[in-house]
Amino acid sequence: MIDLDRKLFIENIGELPGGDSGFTGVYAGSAFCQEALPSRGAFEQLVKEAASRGLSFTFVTPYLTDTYFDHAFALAELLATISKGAEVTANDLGFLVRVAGEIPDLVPVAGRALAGQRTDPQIPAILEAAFSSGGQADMAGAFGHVSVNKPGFADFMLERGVRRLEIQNTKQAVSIGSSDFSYSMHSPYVFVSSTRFCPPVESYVRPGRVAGVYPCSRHCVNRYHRIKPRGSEQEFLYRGNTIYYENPVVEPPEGVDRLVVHRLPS
Amino acid sequence: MNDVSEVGPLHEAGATELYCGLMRPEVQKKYTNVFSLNSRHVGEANLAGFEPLRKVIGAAHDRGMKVFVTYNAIYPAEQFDTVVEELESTLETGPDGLIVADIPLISYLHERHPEVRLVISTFGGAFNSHTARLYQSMGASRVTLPRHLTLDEIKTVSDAVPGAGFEVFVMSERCYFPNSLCRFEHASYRVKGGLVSTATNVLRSLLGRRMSFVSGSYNNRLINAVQDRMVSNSGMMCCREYEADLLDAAGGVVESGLPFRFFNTWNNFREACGLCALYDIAAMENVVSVKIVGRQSLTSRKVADTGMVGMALDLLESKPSREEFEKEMKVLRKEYYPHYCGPEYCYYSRPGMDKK
Repeated sequence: MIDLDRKLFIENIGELPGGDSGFTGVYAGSAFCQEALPSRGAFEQLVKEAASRGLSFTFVTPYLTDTYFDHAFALAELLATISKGAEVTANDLGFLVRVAGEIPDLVPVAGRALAGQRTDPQIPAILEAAFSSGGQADMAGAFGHVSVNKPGFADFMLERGVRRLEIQNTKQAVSIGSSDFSYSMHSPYVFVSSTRFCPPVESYVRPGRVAGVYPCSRHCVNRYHRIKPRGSEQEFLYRGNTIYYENPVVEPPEGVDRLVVHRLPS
Repeated sequence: MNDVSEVGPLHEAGATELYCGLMRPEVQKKYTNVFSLNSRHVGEANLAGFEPLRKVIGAAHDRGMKVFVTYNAIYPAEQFDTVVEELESTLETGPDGLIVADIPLISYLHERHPEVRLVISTFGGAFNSHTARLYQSMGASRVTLPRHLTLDEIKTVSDAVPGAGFEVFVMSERCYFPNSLCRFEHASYRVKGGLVSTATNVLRSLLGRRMSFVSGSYNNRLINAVQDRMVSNSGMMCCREYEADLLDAAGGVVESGLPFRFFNTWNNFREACGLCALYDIAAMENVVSVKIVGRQSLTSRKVADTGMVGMALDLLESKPSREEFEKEMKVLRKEYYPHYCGPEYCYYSRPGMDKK
């Protein structure tokens, strides 16, 4: 593997890496669940401790309802006061635009939910089955698409000062088409789908369960599921409100300059 | 809707707006169902060309109804020029607006066709007022909110952005995953091998739009049960049956071999109902439309759903109490869908509902 900048995704201060770990910085926060955002106190402590160890800091934020939007924005403002030049990775378009426009001391980054990748692990089989006969467009590249390949999306991001995109190691080849951006690739997990219908862990298999938006039980801190559809060998990991599969980065595509390593699906 | 013959019945049932998509055979052949130009990947959910669309628009306008055409996918660069060509031809048919989600497409339309009404699809992921305001600044006149907001959250977002109209889902197909965050391929089971998908594809090619008798039926427990079995084994991933292992944070197996599904049955998704929620939704000043999903459904189902929503809104004019309204809605629901009323079918379920 080429020499990449390596960052570690951490979930609490106890996971901060030491100086000899090979990681130059940390990602902290949550990409897909607003309930998992840290409290102000825990966040401040984490940012300061990371800085004291010489680690760069990337605050990861999920899609947000109004209630949590303000909390996330306040954390971003706090980050700017402690660690000027730190990154905020946003998976909510409105949040990304607000941070990019209003907190100049932070570096805005487009998160995985804004990368526009088609991540279903069935895609190689679909590609073979759907596009193997004549007369069809060559869509192999389109399956590897990332959002900033489209000039209109790239312009939207560049105009707002966004110059880094977080991407995933899908089973099909990733086609990076714009040299105006830097790319971080996450490993070993690939996000496929996320929901706010997140039941308590003991209810996952209970008949009569009513899907809905419920108070968070924090079950995903210590528990998650490995799920396999009947009739398929594809395994998924269902942690909290989000579905992933495992596909470690072996040889990242050209253009990727950073690897973000996760200990658990997140 | 998916055919001009539906315009009259839907108008009589009380619909004031229609939405539809296009799947022209030439485009479908080139890109297959996998790269459909809108979020419905089957022919029976779409109109087959510009001429059918022109007829739909004419029939709707004759009745004072508006027609919105949906281009609500997120398009790869390889497909974008085709989308723009299709869209330009679509605009020549005279629709009242377009339903869109793709940022470059929104920018293109705002710049080239500022007169076109833009409705942001739920694929746009407007979970909060800031994102809604962003879309408004890009020319959107209406924003469709995700299914996964609570009624309180819908009120917060819609109150915070005056001037933008909001649309919310109220009937049928309550997806487990928000469209903007779901990367499961929905057309995959159409192209995979295997008996079920092969049989479905053969039926689809033979029946064309009449396939709705299978894929769009309602309140038919036999068909629903057959469909449930089909999708549980080879359908969309959100409808499949799984075997689950519960793991601890170190990856150790705590419990194995658990049966798991996102929904209890396919019907929880398919037959979802938000009639009771209309009590709150109708009182929200900036919510200007409620969406009845299921373009591929039988006309009779669409008419039934539209009629129920219309009757609910009429009842609200008489200012009933919440209790009176919900009681009436349950009676109404059971008249049309006697087997499918209960907490697990609620579009806007609340914590504790399943314990009652």
